Amino acid sequence: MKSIRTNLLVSVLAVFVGALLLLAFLSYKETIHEIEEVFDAELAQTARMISQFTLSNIDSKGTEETITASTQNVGHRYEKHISYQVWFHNALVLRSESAPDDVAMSDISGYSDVSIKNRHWRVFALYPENSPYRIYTAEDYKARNELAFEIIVESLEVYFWSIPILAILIYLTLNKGLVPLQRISEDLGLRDVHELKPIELEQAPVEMQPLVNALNTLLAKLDAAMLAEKRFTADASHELRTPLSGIRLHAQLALQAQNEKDQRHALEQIIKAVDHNTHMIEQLLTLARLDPEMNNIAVEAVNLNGLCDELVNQISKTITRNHQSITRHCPDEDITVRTNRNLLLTIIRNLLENASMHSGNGSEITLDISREADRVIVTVEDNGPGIPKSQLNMVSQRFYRISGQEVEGSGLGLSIVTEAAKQLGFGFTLSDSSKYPSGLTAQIVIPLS
Amino acid sequence: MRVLLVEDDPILGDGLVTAMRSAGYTVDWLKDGKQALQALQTENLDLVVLDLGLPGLDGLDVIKHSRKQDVGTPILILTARDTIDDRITGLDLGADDYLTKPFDLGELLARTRSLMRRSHGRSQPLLEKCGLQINPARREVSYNGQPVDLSAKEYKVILYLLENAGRVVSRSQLEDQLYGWDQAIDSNALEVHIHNLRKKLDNNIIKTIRGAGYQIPDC
Repeated sequence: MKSIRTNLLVSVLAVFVGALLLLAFLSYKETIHEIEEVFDAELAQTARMISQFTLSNIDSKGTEETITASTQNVGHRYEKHISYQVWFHNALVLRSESAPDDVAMSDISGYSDVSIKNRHWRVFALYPENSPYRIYTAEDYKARNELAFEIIVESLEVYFWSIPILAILIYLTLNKGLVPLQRISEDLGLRDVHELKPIELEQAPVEMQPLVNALNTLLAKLDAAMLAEKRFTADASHELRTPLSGIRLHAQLALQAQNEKDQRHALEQIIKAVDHNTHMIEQLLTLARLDPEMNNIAVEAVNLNGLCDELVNQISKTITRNHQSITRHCPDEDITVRTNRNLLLTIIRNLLENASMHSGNGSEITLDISREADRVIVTVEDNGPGIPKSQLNMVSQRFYRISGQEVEGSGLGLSIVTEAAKQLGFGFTLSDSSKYPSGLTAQIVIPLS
Repeated sequence: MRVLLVEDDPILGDGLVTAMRSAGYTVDWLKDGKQALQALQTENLDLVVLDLGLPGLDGLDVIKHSRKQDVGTPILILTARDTIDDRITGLDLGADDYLTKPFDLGELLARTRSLMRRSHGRSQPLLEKCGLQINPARREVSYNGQPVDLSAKEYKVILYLLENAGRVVSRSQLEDQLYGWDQAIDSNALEVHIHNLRKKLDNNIIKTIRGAGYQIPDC
């Protein structure tokens, strides 16, 4: 697993060390140059000093003298070993121990780089005016470079010490910066499934706001879904237990009944309640099967003319029982749609049952299936009391019942229609009847393409 | 006892009305929460048996609104909502008892009697005064140790008078005990019941307070 902290720490440190190295390199270059200038200046200075001494004090013409470096252990570690030669005409009259004893160190005046017997020298040659002396001062490049390197390393040491210190500082800063993230995970970690209130992050950094917002949106959606689920369970238990209570109560009453009439009434009520419960369970199961995650909808060619007749036959018993009449307008031409036959039947049957149940005794119901350009429109219309406008979009909720309504339905019919239409990709609308002075029009729009 | 039943299921409601009427209660039945709230505010009721999932107005809102308006009528919730949270919410909103569906008829009636006892500040299950004794659970009346056979309406009158013994009970209060909304009030009937009660028990047990009503006086 990737850690933001480790990632940031590593990359920030890498960038920092890279920058440090570049800086050290540039600094090294610059320092080397400066040190060389200083060393060169020293060579010149030493040469001039020797020339002064030579011209004023030394008069050893023709004889060579070698000065052995003092072995005394006083001095400085940066003290340099400058070699020198003093020539009088063509004779070497004075030299330091480390200087070559046979050749002049250079043949040009001023600075030059020379190689003598595999040693590289930086040489300064001084030819004092009107004098037979030639004075050379020289430094072995090897020693010179060693010293320069020592000085540079000393001065660059601070850069390297700063790396661990910076690493610690970056780590601490990162930790502090990650505190809000940690707080959110602690908050979420401590919750149980039912705690879906939004995350409250006081003074959340701007960068975290989108994450917090997205999480809160998700939490709100989950909360709504869980609430709906909870309400559905509560409603379902109410809708199933109430008729069960009715059955139990009437059974007790039938047992206690003093006369046959009361007993008969109680038993009739029991049968009614059982039928109601059966219908309710069937509707609940239909709705459960419509759960989008539970099934793949099989699609087949469905002939709407045949479907139309079948539906009217199915509903005719109920219509007759309620003393209602049904008018059908099945299509003249053959219309075939590719859809799931059972779901389509469920939709239209529920609409017809709904119309029959809620429009009252003696009402008129029409079923109209017609083709309109690239779609088929199924209309179920009744001349019952209709639905108040304010409740039109609420009646499709599960178990919603219109206030003051005496009719005993499952309260699930329109939920089933809505859910099934959604799954088949049909449009579903409810509106006031346009054909009758009052009543409800339910319309299903089936796209043909 | 005057009971308002609020239940939107026609089959269960029908059974409850039958059951409570044969237990000797005067029962009115509503199926809508809004109407129930209105009845609670205006009617003279002894007990409300209330379903929670109601069209119009949820049963919990009925309780909340009526208690806010200081309606003190005992309320028994009879519901399918059976979680602990639901029970706590219902009781804390002001309901006096909570029974979940499916229920036993005997238990429901026992709970209504218990609520009646408590609403009259009584702990004794038996009502007793001046030799008159009523056992509401068995609907038995006795006077000086002798059982007395009373009609259903006579029983309702004597029960209410004894429940309120010492207090003057108005004519309309007694009529509320006898008749539901769908029953026509016979203007002479109450006098007939009082007359019969005096004949079956004792002439002096019910005192007529002229212009005010009736009373079982202290003896």
